[in-house]
Amino acid sequence: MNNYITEFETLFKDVLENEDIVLTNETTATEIDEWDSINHIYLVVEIEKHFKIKFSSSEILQWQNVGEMIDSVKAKKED
Amino acid sequence: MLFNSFEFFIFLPIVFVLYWFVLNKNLSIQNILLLVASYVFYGWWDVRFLSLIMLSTILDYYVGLKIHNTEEPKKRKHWLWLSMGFNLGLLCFFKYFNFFIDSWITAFNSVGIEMDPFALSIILPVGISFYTFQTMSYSLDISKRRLEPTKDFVAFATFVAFFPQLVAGPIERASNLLPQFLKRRKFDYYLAADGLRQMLWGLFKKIIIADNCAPYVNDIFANYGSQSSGTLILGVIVFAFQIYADFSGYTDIAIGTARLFGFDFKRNFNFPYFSRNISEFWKKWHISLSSWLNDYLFTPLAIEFRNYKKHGIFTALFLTFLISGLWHGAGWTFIIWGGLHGLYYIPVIYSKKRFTSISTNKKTSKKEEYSLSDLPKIILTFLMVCLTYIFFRAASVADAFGYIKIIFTEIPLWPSSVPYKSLFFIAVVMVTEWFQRGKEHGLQFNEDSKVPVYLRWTIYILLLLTILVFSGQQQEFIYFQF
Amino acid sequence: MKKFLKKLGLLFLIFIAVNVVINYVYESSANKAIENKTHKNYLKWTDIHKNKNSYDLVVMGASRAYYAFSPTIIDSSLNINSYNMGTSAQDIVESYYSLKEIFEYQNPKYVVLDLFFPLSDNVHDYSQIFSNASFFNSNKTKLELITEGYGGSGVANYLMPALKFNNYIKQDLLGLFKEKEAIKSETNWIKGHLHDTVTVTDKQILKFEPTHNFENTAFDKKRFEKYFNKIKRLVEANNAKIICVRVPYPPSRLLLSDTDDENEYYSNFMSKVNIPYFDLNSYKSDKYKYKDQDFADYHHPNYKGAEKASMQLVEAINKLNK
Repeated sequence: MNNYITEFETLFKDVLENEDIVLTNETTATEIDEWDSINHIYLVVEIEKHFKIKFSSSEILQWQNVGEMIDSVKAKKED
Repeated sequence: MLFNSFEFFIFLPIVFVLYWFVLNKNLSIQNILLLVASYVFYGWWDVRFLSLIMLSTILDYYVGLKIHNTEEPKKRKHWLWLSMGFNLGLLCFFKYFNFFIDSWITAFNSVGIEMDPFALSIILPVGISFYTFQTMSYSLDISKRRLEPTKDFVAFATFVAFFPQLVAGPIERASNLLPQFLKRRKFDYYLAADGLRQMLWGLFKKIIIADNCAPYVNDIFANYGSQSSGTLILGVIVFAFQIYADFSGYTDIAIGTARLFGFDFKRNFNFPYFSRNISEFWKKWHISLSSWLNDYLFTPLAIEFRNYKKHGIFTALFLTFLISGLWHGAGWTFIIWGGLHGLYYIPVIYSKKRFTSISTNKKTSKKEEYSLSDLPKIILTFLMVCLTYIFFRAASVADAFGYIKIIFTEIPLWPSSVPYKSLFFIAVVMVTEWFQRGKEHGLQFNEDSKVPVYLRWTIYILLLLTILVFSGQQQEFIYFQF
Repeated sequence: MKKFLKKLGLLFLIFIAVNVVINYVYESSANKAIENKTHKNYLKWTDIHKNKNSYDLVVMGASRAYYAFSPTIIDSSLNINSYNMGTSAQDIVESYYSLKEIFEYQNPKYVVLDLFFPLSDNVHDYSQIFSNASFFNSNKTKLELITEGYGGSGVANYLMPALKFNNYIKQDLLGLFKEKEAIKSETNWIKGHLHDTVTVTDKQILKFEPTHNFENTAFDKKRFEKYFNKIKRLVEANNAKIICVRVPYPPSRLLLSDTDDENEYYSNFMSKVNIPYFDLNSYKSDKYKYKDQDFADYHHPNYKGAEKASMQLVEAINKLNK
């Protein structure tokens, strides 16, 4: 579990170009300035590339926070 | 009923008194009063319009429950499509039927196929663009499991028809507004007092700036062919302030009125003309619409196109802006207006740098801090937006291009007529909003405000008097045809 | 809630107090004029109310009407007793209600009505309108004027001095920044007509703008037709005849205008309803040729123009009687 958060943090820092980002399971887009709708797409693409998985559109649209994103990744990885 | 009308001036105190003093025993009665008042307010335009909004309400109430109680994804989708189809169908028929027919005929004519002009005389129900979007967000959020439907029909109906935001927004999300109808409202002094202030500020912008700018702008756009380049430039700049004052003024009155009744609407304008780039502008202008389109149109599209990288994002964004243009009006001028804004995002999307505001991870962003170097960015962004307004305001695409041609082929000299009075008031409003840019609206005073009471009250009286003395002819809100 | 209502109430009281002051300031000059018997509307209505059933002809309309028609000239040419009841900013609605009041005291054979587009638009100078109406004796007619004639806007303007006197307040505020133009003392009133000796200056002529057309005025056809028909019915019910006229404009202004929507509209309309209409810009123009110098400003004839216009009216009436 900790691994995922750290991996996500690295991804976020890279895509959003901000070294100060700290993530928890409850973090949402409103809490991070750079995490707007356009950058969200870049994040999704990077996450899919990094974990070598493919989400369905409806899955992506249902994410409410970082925790749910991690859950989706876990579900796909441990399939 | 218009907000700046005698009827509303009588209507509002009556509803206020009934709401807080007479019919506030329990939640249902509070809501029923608001529902009846809202239907009266809306029916004042035309009683026939009521039937449409009632139909939309009943359908979406029923569909919401059906989606929630069905587990099978296909069946859920079908219910959702019913709601979307009905609402979009209503919108398309009343708003776009003639436009589609016209464009179809023009297209056929241009390749030599003659078709007879055909148009139905369809009256556009006021506010249809707003309430259909509001109810569609309800169905969409339920289908995405972000929201639970309500069984309280009165609360739902009131949420759809609530008079402050029914006619020209803001487009409220069910997740924000519906819960407020499910709880009995208690009177809050600060909320009500600040609501009144916001209403006063909105009225001031609407009556003093928007209504006074209108004749000047109308004249320039109607006779652009005989105007000098300098006058045309000034004309579109004045229009930029007219539409801002008109729309943000109306929104301020709407939000302020809602606060009088204990409701908290989300902000719709965040001093957009102080934006330093186009991306910031669209986070500050007509926020309820752009966030709606962002959540329900751009994001799903962009996710579908995500494998096309930047091209995918640009396509999704451009399409969204075209739709936004179309939402604003059934005409090519509006579509081009939207498209231009889409094109403005090309540097945003295709530049090497991530185009964002000042980096910070904190909740309270330092975005509102400006420096002198921001001034050219602010001016450039404003001028870019003004260019798009030529299309938004022009009577036709040909007129818009004619307007632009004169500006770019003639050397701009001092304009032949300058509306000094309007410019003075525009300056007053912009300076005030600049100093208040950290606040919710131009006339907000916090409970710990350092501005002394007597000064605040003098300002209120002065604003009221100015509204009475300088009121121009009553003009309809620009966004009323939506 | 109590705190809210208390504060709201206090604000309301202060606002009312400010309006009372405004009212006092702008009404006091009017009240003084009434006391000194120099208030022109007061004088006109006193004549109408006191000299019952004496006038054979009344002229209705706005300031153009009271500048253009001299009862002295009309009386001597036609051997009748006429009166000019034109008042400032009298639009067609006010003409109707004024006639209602007039017919309670007079039984004229002719009602002359001046026509031009701003008389039926949606811009009203309420302070002038209410100043005129304040001298009605009939409170019922006054009430109908405010509520039926001008609706919610009328009521709001009647009740709120800041609204009612907004034109004066605006003028005074502007006066702080610009030089005040010397206020003409209008003292030469004869039977309701203003005998003006001022002649328009060349500088003013250069600033002339075209006359009214459908584009540059907010002419409200429905409003005009509704109230004209009311006037027509009222006049006929009192066994009188209406004569419609269009007071002339300085010829330089006419030259600036490509179209003459006003004349076209009125002549078409009047022929449809079978009411005599005379455009004094062109009626018997070989005999009555206007020059810019016949005018005091951009649309008010001075005493020279009034001579011509009054004679044109005389000839028109003679023609109708043949």
